[in-house]
Amino acid sequence: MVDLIKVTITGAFPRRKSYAKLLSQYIKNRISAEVYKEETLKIIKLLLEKLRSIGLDVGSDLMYFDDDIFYPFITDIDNVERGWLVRYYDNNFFVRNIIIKDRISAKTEFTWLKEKIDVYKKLFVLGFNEYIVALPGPLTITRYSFDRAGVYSSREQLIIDYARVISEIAGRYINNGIMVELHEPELCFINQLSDNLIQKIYKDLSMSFDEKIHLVTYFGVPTLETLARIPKDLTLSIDVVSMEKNEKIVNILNKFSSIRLGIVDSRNTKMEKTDSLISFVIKLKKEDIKIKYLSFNSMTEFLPEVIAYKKVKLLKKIAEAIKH
Amino acid sequence: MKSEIKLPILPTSVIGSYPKPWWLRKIKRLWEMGRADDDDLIEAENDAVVAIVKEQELAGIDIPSDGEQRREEMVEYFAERLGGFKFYGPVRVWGNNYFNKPAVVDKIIYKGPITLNEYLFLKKVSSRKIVKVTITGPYTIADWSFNEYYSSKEELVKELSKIINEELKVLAENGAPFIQIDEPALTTHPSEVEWALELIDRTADNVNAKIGLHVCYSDYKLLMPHLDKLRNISQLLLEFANRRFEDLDILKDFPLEIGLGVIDVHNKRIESPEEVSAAIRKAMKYIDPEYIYVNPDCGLKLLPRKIARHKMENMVKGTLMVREELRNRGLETTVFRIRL
Repeated sequence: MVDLIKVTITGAFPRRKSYAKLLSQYIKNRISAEVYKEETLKIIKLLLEKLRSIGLDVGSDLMYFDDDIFYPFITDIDNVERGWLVRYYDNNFFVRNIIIKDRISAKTEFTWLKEKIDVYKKLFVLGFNEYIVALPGPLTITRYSFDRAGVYSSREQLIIDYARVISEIAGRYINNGIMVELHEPELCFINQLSDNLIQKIYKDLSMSFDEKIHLVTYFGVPTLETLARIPKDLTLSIDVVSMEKNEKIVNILNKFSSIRLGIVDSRNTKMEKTDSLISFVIKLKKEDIKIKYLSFNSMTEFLPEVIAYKKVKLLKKIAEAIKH
Repeated sequence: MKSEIKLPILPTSVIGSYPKPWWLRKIKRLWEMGRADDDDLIEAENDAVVAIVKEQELAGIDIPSDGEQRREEMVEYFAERLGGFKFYGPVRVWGNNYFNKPAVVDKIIYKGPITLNEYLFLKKVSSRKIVKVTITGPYTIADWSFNEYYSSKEELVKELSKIINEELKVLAENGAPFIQIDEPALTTHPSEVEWALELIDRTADNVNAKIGLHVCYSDYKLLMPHLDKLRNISQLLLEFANRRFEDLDILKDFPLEIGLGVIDVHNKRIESPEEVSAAIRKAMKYIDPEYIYVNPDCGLKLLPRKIARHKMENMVKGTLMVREELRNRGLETTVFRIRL
């Protein structure tokens, strides 16, 4: 039996005007939290049904309840607070950084995580075979953390503490039947990662949860050296659009048990040529690369909604073509 | 001559946008639904500019803008008025804020003056000697658009630079004294900063007006090695309040005037005059007061109008506190410099 490559979006999906209006009413206290949640859920379900009808295989909450990849995620962490607006890498997209007040640790009550799991449980009725939630990777969240007080003597220690918290939270999602995509673009910008650090931050995750953890890299590609150090039993997501900068990494991708290709560009509305993408995927498969997912090369919400749909359709077309 | 105009020391200004009165937003909605005609909208926009200019002047602002009352979004406004762009729909920028990110789908064409009437109306209704007109710069228009047509971003920016140069010349020929090029995207891609800055500066070639360059929410250190090469830009306007005045040390040996951002435009908390004056004094440790203009971090349009007004009043009050100290040192005015 041939396994069909599954289509997934990456992180957040473009937000609808109707949702923006709803959120605005909620921020202005014109509707209650209950009404806001209920109505948002209706919008998410509507979008997921539409997306499934055009080819989406993996369900998610589309990050509609998240401000960005860090917030409200950080509300489940002790000794941090929300900082000021900063650019998310080289995009016209802004997040608030994280101020470190003291040594960080997971809160005893995971209020946000519980809320999220409740949302996913309500989405399970849609019947996707797989569901996924987006969380920040330890390297990326560290890049956006500001330790003004000098709590940590080294960035490495902060990375390790974040990894511990993220691992705990990721485990709870997975135990509830939800896969985790760890957004880790920072892996593409770090040249020197010690084996010891990798051991501490990714190995526990991959050993416990293997392919259910999608390590999502984007805005570039990690170096060969970095990829060599990453555990091979998790799902590695690669930004194919950036791969031309370092095509050599193809040689190491077949070592991973599961690969997710970020094959369509979420930072350009120009539609990719179907035939060249199909040829590219076939070429990689011939090199024994275990492609299990096709997706966008970075956050799907960087595109307008109408183009995001077109590109989901394109992903499905490629997946279908590869099957035959 | 423009170059001999004197302003009070530490001139106060705005970055550009200002909250729209509720009635303008309402008429805009009616116009979008086809229930108000073009004349109704223009009348409302004109009335809004009169109100907003007066509001800035009452707050004590020395160099007002028209509050960009006729614009919705800084890139969208220009892309809509040039040939070659297409709009697919909104994308999110942060929180619950979106913009209609344009796509370049054909050769870009200049169809005629875009901001001239805005300037002429502003000049007519303002009592101030100097008013400011804002223009979105070529790099930001390119960076905040999807490029489906040009072979490279640099080629697209070059094309836009030529087109905006035409717009700037028209403004200057009609007497616009101070034009601010808005380039919030400038430092987004570090490897592009050098050529981008050169093309932005070239946008103001043969333009007889003071040229400011506004950059915000990014790594200013990337700009520093290239500022000496600027021929046309005399002022850099930067956000500092949002970052709690980190990075002020870049003002050491600064080769331009600084437009010092002292008001956080993404926070409803109103800064006290004392906070503003402390920020100016901090900056004065690095740069002479004759080279400092005082302004908010960025456009004020996302704030409730009442809060924006209060913030501007306190910005001016804080500036007056420092002016008083400078008066004791014999410093009361600064020269309005077109070029440095």
